[in-house]
Amino acid sequence: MNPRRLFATLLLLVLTGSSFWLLGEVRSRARSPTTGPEPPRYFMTKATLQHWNRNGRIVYRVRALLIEHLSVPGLYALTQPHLMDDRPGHNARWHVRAGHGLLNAIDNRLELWHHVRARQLPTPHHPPLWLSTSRLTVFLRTHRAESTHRVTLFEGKGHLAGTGFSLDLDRRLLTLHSQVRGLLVPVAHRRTPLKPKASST
Amino acid sequence: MSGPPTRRGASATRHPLLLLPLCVIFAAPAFATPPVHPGGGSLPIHVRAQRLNVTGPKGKPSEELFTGHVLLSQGDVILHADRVRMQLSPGGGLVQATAWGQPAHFVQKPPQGPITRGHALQIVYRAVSNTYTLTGRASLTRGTEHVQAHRIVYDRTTATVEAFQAPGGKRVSIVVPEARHPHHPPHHPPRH
Repeated sequence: MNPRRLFATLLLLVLTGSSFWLLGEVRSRARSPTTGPEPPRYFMTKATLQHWNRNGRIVYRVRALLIEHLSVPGLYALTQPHLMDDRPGHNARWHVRAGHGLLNAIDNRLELWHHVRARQLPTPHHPPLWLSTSRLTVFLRTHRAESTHRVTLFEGKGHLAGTGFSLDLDRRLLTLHSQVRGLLVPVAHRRTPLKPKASST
Repeated sequence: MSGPPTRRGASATRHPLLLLPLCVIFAAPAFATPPVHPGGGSLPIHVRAQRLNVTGPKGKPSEELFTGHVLLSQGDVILHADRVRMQLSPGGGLVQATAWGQPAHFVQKPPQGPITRGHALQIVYRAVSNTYTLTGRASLTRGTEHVQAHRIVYDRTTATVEAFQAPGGKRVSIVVPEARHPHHPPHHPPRH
């Protein structure tokens, strides 16, 4: 037998075998994922996500026009979200709306952007307060919110704007971090008229 | 802008009646002119600061604390301070504003009448009584009149001033320039 032909035949056999082996390796890799089964992607329209505490009471609700569960577990993309703060035992409650949002249900963090507007519901001791910004991060577990962008607060007819914002609902502390500018419109004090004394006849 | 107060007039250090040990109530004619904006407390307040903290304790009205080169202007009054705390009523009205500085100072520039300037380590404005209380190295100047004391209470409604000295501290100093009589022109020294 011609040694050249023998060499060529052997080379062909080796190449064919190795290509089959490579093909099998790729198929076996594709069949055995290391991260487990993919979470399902699904959509919900006009839906509400609710979060309860251990006592079975609702802590917050997130309503949205479209809720999309992404491929990452616990991650939801929200369109026109509306966050309702329903903490039990707290008078000062907030409602937050935005154009878009991203909810991480694992660490209870909500990123909001595009025309973020928040409203603190009025209480007997606090008038209603409005907030407007372009981006806001809400930490739902620790009842905090913060933003590094320009934030404007509206109270009555006045407004205050600042760069950088943080809100701690448990400590009842709101901070504008820098470049504070605004207009305060004090409410005129009403002098209560003296009540006429009842005269005995 | 008016010049520095003249030393030709009556001074508390010279006048025996003004050397009261604790308190001096002063109502100079120039201070007693009615204020231009009697309802100045309800005018809008323009604010500039580096930082704002708002606290709203449960069951209590809010407090706003401005810090860092605070500039407040309301009507014809401008206030500069390092720190200003504003206490608000449940309805959102201003109850009291406290300013601190080294020193904090305010300027009132009415469209008619002399300019009023106040300096103190602490300036408290009470909206209900429409008064300024200046405490700590306090001084108040209106036109050419000048009051210097530990504590000065300036009532914007009645335009009266009360000055108090600190216990064991410096006495109240008041400088009122000599009134110029319209029929007697100032005496000019003869030229040689």
